[in-house]
Amino acid sequence: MFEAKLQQGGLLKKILESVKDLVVDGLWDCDGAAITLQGMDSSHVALVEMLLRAEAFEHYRCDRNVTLGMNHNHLSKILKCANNDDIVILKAADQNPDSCSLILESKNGEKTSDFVVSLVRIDTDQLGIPETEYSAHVKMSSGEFQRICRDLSQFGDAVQITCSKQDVKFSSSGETGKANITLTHSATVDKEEESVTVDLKEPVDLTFALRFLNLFTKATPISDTVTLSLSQEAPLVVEYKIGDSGHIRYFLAPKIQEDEENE
Amino acid sequence: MAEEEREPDDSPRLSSSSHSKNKEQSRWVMIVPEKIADQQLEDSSPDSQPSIIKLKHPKTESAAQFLICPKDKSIQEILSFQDSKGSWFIDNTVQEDGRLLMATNIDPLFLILPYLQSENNTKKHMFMELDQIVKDSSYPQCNRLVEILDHQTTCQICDSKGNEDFKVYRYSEEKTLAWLKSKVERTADYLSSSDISVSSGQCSSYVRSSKPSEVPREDCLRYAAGLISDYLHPSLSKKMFSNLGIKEETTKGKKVSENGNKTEEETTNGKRRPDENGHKAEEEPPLKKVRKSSSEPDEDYSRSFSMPQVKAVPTSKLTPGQKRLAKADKTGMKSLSSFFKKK
Repeated sequence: MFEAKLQQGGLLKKILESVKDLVVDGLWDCDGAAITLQGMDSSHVALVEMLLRAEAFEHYRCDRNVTLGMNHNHLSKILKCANNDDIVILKAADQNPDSCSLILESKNGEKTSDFVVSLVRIDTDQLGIPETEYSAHVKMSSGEFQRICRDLSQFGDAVQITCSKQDVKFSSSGETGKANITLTHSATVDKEEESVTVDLKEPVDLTFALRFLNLFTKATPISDTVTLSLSQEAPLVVEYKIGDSGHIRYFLAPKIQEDEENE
Repeated sequence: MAEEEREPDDSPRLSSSSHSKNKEQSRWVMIVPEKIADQQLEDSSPDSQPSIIKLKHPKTESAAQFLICPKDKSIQEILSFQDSKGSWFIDNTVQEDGRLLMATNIDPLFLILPYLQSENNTKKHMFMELDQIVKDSSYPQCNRLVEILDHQTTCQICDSKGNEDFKVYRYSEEKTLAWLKSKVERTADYLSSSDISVSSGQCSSYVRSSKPSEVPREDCLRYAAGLISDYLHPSLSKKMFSNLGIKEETTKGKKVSENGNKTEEETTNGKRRPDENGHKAEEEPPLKKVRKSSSEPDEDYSRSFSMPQVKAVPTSKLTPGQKRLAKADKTGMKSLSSFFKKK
């Protein structure tokens, strides 16, 4: 059987909030070491990959690998009933389970809520994401990234990310005008979560749809920092670490510019 | 209409003359303004000849035929009237097709409005040249509209920039609504000065009788606006009604009496109805039909039942975030499966 007990129920809430708008139905793969979730948006231009290792759980038991097809809208309804400090226990049978139980326990143990969520059959292809070298890594405060995406989406639908030696520039343009935000490499700042590091092998210049980035920033509460990995002609990776025991990675296909006239 | 009755006397003259140079099947009886019929006879250069072109009807967005006269820069809408039975006698022959076609002046601005509005949606307030705006692959002849529009006319519904040689335009909803308002008011003025009955029996008498205190001016305005909305895209006509502060009382296309038809032409350019005259066209017959006063009900009883359908019913239970994402502009973005291989 599969059983996982998470001390911080709030974490699962945050994870779900950050994936449910992108992926309606997700496959939660549980094996002996971790729970992984991979899913794409309906248009298949963005992908989210979530990994939560067994260490994240107070108690983790998985006798056999099991795949849970979750409807995230249903799951989120259940987790809305949970307080941030509630303990969440996930339970499922070993062989082809058709439902998964969730138990929410209040911290003082006085209240226990018990839910059963029906699993859905999901026929999607899982993509194998190879470990690749990226031309540029930008690490920055997740709040700052969220703010940049939100601010720029007032000006246009797309953001152009340009990385040069020491800085990264986010620009967007629309009918009301043009906006540029430049962040300079500043690893010397005392607080690590506020620093910006640009690790560059080759300069990159890519354009992405802001609506997707704005959606990715829903994972901001999970981590103080975010890492953007970019390569020319390759999907952008936006990674949020879940403590030391996992991550959420978003992949987004770049916009290939054919219509220069819109510039 | 008096013109209609007198028409057969005149038309054979023209019809038979055209008959001699045209094929038998392409023959109709059409009332056109006298000056256009004269042009047709005297003028030989094909460019300035009045000709029938197919254009997008501004309301229905389907094809409709129009008679364009480059010489006096006017365009005529072609309406057809058909009795269930009837033929024409033309000289010594019988014309089996008993339809009566009528060419009546229409303001070309109505016809370019759909193009202006759609440009407005896609190109986001860019100023463009008129011949770039009025471009339509399904109605290639629409570019002829540009010939008959002059700068001053176009400026009634557009903002414009540029000098004598190079003028660019941009749709202005404000101007358009003001333009429509003046049209409605002029028509209403005419309606109130004429003895055309605009109230009971023709425009929702039931509603009217329940509110007997209504002033006749309001009825005139509503009737006039109804006439004009026949040439407008439903979304624009809704805006026009709210701009005028009139409740749209008929949900279906208006039901027109003969009088209504007559005023319709008043509406489109404020001129008097064109003189009747027989005139024969060279191309296929028009598709539009004149609504007959007798055969259609004056009121739409189904209106109250059809109203609830307007309410949008959410079809799927997507979250707001998912909906926003569905609207995202994904142009130029390749599927991720082109970057990553399947497991």
